[in-house]
Amino acid sequence: MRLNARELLVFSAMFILVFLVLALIWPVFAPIYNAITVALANVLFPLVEEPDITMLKPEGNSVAIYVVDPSKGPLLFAYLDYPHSGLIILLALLLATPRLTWKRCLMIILLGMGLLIVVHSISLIAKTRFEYVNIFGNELPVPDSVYLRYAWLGRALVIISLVAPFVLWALLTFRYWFPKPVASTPAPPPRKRKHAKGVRP
Amino acid sequence: MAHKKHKHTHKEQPALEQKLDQLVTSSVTRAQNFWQRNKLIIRAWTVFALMIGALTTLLLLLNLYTNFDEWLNSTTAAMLAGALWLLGAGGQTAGTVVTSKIFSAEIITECTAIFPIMIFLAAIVAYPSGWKKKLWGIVLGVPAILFVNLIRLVSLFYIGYWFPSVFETAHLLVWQSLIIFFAVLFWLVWVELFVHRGQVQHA
Repeated sequence: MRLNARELLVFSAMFILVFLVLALIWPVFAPIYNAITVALANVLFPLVEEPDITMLKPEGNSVAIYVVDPSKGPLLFAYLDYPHSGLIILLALLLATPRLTWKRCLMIILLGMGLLIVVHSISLIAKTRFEYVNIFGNELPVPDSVYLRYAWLGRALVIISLVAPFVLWALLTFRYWFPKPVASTPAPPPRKRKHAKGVRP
Repeated sequence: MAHKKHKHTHKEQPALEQKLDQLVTSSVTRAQNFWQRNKLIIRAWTVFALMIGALTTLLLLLNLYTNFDEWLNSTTAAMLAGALWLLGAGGQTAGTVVTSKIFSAEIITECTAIFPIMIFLAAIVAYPSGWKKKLWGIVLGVPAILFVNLIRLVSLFYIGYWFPSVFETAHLLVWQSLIIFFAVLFWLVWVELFVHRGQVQHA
């Protein structure tokens, strides 16, 4: 299946319209979504930290990173602003996708949101770890290889957080409308014409 | 009783083996069919992921061994100042800082079009097509993304002047998402105009 120019235009207009509407009501949903991803990230933190010293707290459109000091309690370390803007892009893309029935669209939205929550929770952990190296890098004796790894991760995270909703959208909907790659196979040889019996070629 | 049980197991053995054989054969056939149906798409996604990794590494190395970051930021700042000057807002630059009659800001890497361009390049390279078509996509697509990014920066200056309370939302929520959408849209247009034009696709 392929998209023509008109369908591309309709899709773009629909996306921008739905995106702007969702952006307007985003402040209502942001704290709820933030709370879900932060809760999952806090559950996953002990898997990557020993001892587990990080505590994330949702604060409106941002996520606050607290470092837990046993003697002083949690200390505010940094803020991650708008870490979940990808959600409204994914919703807008799915709602604007042509040739998708409402039932299918709803199912894909639920699946996509579940996957995005996992992506966002993992990226919250990675971003927090990157913040530690970024801020303490000059003070603590961090080996160059570790610093380079985190510097790479920091750049990759920017791209991953930007591209994640688009990749999820493409993966979940490509069967319905995405321009499918066409194999560049050579043209088949011309078929020989069959001649009727008794007719000379 | 034990004899009966033994006999029963002996009878079951060939049937079980047959079933297992059937299961393995059908699974292999299904996997082969899946690969045959989706190999182009799987290959395209793999190349896309590898390209993102390679371009991120390249960007990191460029920043480590050259002043690429600084050059990128100051070039974007100069372009923005020029656009503001053309619009009568009197744009000026001092390194990576852009000042004007309406608003001032410092340009950092996230303000440039480098990340959308990287995503666009990875998508163009990953999609199965000839190198000539890919080159056309890059030659036309990269300036288009740079232009949209310039519109984004100019509009943010005016939003910062007229509606300062929504500047952060427009900056971090709206425009950062829209610039990637435009990169994806340009890729879709390239696929339709350059790759699939004149091709008949079989369902």
